[in-house]
Amino acid sequence: MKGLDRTPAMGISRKQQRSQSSTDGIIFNIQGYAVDDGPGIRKLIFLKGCQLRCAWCSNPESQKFTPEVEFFPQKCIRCGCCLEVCPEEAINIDLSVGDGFKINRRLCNDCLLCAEQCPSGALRKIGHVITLDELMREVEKDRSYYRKSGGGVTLSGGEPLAQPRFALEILKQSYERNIHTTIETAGYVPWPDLKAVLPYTDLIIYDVKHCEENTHRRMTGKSNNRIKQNLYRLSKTGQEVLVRVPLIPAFNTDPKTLTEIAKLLITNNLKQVSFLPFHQFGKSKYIRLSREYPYEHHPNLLTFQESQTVIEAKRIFASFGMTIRE
Amino acid sequence: MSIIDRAERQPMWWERTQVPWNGRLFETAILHPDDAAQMRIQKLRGLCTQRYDNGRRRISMQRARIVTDSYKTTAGEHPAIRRAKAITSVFERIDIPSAPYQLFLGSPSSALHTLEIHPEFLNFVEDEEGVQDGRHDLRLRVFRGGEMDKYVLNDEDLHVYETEVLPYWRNRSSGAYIGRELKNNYPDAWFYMTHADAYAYKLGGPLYHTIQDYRTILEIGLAGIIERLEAHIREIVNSKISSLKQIERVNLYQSSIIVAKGLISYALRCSKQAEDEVEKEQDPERAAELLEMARICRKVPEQPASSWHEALQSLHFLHMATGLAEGGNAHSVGRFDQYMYPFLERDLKERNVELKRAQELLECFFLKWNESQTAPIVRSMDGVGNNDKLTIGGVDSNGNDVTNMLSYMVLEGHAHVHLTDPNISVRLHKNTPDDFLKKTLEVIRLGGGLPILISDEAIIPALIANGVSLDEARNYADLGCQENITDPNCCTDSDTHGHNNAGWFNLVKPIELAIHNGINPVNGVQVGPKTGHPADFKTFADFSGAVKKQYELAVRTNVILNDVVEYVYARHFPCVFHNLMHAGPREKGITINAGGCKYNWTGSLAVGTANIGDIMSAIDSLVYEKKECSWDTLIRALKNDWQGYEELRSRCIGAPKYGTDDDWADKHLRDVLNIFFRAYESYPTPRGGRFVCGLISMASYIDLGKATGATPDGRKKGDPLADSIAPSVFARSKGLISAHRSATKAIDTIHTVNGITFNQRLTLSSVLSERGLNKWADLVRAYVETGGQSVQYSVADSETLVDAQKHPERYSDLIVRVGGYSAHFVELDKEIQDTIIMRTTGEL
Repeated sequence: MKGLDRTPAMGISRKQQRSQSSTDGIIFNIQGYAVDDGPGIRKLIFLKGCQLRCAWCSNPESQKFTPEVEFFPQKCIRCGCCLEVCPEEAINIDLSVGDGFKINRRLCNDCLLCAEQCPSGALRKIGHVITLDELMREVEKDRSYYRKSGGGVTLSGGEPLAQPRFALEILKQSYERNIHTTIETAGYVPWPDLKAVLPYTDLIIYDVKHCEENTHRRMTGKSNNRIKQNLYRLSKTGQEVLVRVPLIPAFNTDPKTLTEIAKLLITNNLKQVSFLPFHQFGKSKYIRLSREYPYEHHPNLLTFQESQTVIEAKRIFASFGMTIRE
Repeated sequence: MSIIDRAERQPMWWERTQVPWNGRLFETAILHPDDAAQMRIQKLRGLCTQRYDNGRRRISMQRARIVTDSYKTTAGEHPAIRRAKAITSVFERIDIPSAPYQLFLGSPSSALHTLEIHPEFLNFVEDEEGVQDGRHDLRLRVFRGGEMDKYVLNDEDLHVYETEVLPYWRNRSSGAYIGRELKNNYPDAWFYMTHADAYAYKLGGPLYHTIQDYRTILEIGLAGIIERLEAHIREIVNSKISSLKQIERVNLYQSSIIVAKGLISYALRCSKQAEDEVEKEQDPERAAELLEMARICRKVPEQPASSWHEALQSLHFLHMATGLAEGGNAHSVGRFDQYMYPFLERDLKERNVELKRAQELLECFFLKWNESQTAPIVRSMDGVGNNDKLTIGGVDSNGNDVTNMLSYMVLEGHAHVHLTDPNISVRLHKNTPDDFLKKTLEVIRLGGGLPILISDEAIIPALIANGVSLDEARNYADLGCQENITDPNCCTDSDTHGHNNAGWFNLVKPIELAIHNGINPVNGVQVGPKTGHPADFKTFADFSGAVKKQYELAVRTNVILNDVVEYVYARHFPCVFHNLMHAGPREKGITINAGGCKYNWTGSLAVGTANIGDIMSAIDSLVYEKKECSWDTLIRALKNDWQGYEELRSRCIGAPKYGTDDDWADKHLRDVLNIFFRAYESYPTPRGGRFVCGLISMASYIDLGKATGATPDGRKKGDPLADSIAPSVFARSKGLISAHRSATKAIDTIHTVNGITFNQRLTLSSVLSERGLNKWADLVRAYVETGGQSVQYSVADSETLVDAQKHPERYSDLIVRVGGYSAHFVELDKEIQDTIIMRTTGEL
């Protein structure tokens, strides 16, 4: 595994996933005591890799399918260890300025040697390969807590179904072990991949972002045709679906767009919706990945007192007879 | 502006906190913010918080002076009689602070927000260079010098201290006796103690940690007790005396009578003071209250209490007098909701008291606990109150749930009073009502970390394993931090002298000594046995063997130290007030330190739990399993405090850590803790009980860390040890459940009857909704059912988060989550952190 780690192409593509015999996957985080992602107390598995590039994404480290390096400026002791090992000379440190550390991400090939050498933990590898067995051991650990609370495991991401075989196996094994299963998907996946997991998935949390194709493409990088189509097919299966609408300023919070989304859901006979108000908490992650944060100047909608935008969204969806879930 | 004016301008606590208190607890609350009774409570609360606003408490020399004067006149008398006379002299002479608005009288100090000194327990040790001031004394100077601004000592009091108190007690305090005894008779132990840095121990100090027999006195009054004691004396005096023990017993009975009468006289003085205040009082309503208070203080604690108000006043006198007489802290009241309930029930039934008035009285009673500090000034106690515990909930002798109306009233009382005292524990078990658990969590959600949750499922079996009977075990209560003993208020005659703080034990030190072949690397002295150079250990088991030998000596020496402490108390400072308040010592005429109680333990409090697991895990992993580094390299790295070995250090930090639900690390911790537990438990106490263990650090992990070199878990020389049983700062948190799971796996709670503290943080947003609260309740239930012993949650409010910005190293467990997103708070940049803080305060 160690040798594998160093090759930039070690992330696992869908094609590879289909063909390979072992079911390894790449994840970037496992979080216990998740209470906002399905019923009860859950273990949240963050699978790495997503085909969409939503401008507001709060998990930018989830997008790439391969491990990459994050930089925590406050931890850097400027020892220069990383400079010495970087084979691409992608790292620059200018000791004369406060934020003098730079990774040239165009040169960086994600070999991660710098993260291995870094003594202070300022450079950290994000994303690692995990075998199905290892992952299931992690899932099993919290069983007493799922039982007590009616919780279970939730696959999140990235797009969990972008590693279809791995996701399927986790869901299947969990289901067989009588652990409640949930996935959070953006729906931008081939229908067979989604269909395959349905028998083993207790709850699908399905993101719907926008109804208009061009706007969707402009803000997420992809068309929404497939997402709408999958939603339609999904609604015909009788599967329990909770639609989740991220409320994103300057994108979908205007009454017209929200009404369109509500109509789309009603047409598909989907009655449950929840909202994910935009927040700025992802910003630090963009800095760590040396990336531009397109949503830097937009207001937080996730506020202690519910913001007007959220109240308005709730009102619109409720007017269509929909149930608003927390 | 007077202190009372300022108090009146204090905002109500619910205005100050931004936590919405709209949960079910407050829908069913007895008192509401606009009740006149609640206005009184908040005014009184304002008076109590003054000390925090000023940031200071006064140190008074009044008690020290009275005690010193008394001792000067009683030379040659029996130690118990001398002590009883000194205490009674305090009861008769100390100023009684006036208490505006209050419904209860009596205070453990001469003025509000004031700390009395107990010079008989000061910590002086002679050394070769002559007489050296003890730590306690040094601290008095330090406070004066302004280095620590929590206390004030004025010039006059300092003069009294230096010219009257200090010269008398320098060679006569308990610390001086203990020091001489150890130095002269146990030179090897003395050497180890002074050179190994294995304990944080003050020589001397008052007796801490009791649950006294309050119920008997509530029921028969001190007059009834005196009658019994006089009968005991008559019986001996009129019999054919056949042993010296009988003569000794007469003295002890006499001393109990003296202090009992002393306390009665104090109560009468309080009554008189209330009467004096009536004359000056303009408000007829308050005058009536004062008259009633005067009547009650004439009656209790001398006579049996017959109403809720009388019972609370009597309990308060007995409790506050313990602090005034004997000092120390963690003098707890046990299962308050059980033995006090009959008084409340009868009053309500006979309509002697309205429910609202009953709640008001309860809250006034709680506030009395916060007026003064009785605890001595030691660093390990910084930032806490008296740590006097009140336990609610749990099961009866047959295992039935016994949550009652008073249990709920205590929760409400804490929600309104919301100060450090009383420290409250809620006993949980399989059948704790959901509603009670949820209301408890609602109270915790308000901030402040109380109540503490403790589990009958873990503690009752541990008590039984220590020889306690089933009935007594099911009626246990905890005290102080989380130490568990029998409660004589619920099981007659089942008192325990737990000696529950045998000094902080540095768990890391014996392992450090094993690594350095018995040499303490901090001072280069060979203190431990030469267990061999680790490079010669072929297997990890060999190394464990050396660790075991080092633990055995560290434990043995600690046992000697504690036995000597016990001896000095019994011989020179019989705790006569505790004797009066414990049925065993009182009735048998055997002082508490000589085995008067039914159960006679000495309880260690061990510090550095996570460190020792992580150290053993790293050594086994890096040196033996993976063979990534040699012993020689590791030892060189430790001696150099990791300088030049940064890479090795990061490997050590990366080794499996306790607290992350890693089976390897958890097993190593469990194994090494068992070495310690078994060594300790193998010793009997000189009172006929046994040594018991606990894993509690309070703030001592800082001082003990300073005395410990670099360790293989990646810790640098002098850095703090881990707090209680919390994961170390190097354990990258995987969330609450991992820490809970590690705790239940690694801590063998059958051995931790002397308590564990397990502090966990939650973010407010995860528990704000009703559903979030219920998930939290499920977390607690699962923890209890999988064997967890105790847990204390703090909900991270804005102040916590601001502190986390300043001290990120202490908050690695703080996880911010929103659906589909999660991040460690301390890893976010300042601006985002500020956003989250604003969200917590409701500003955003």
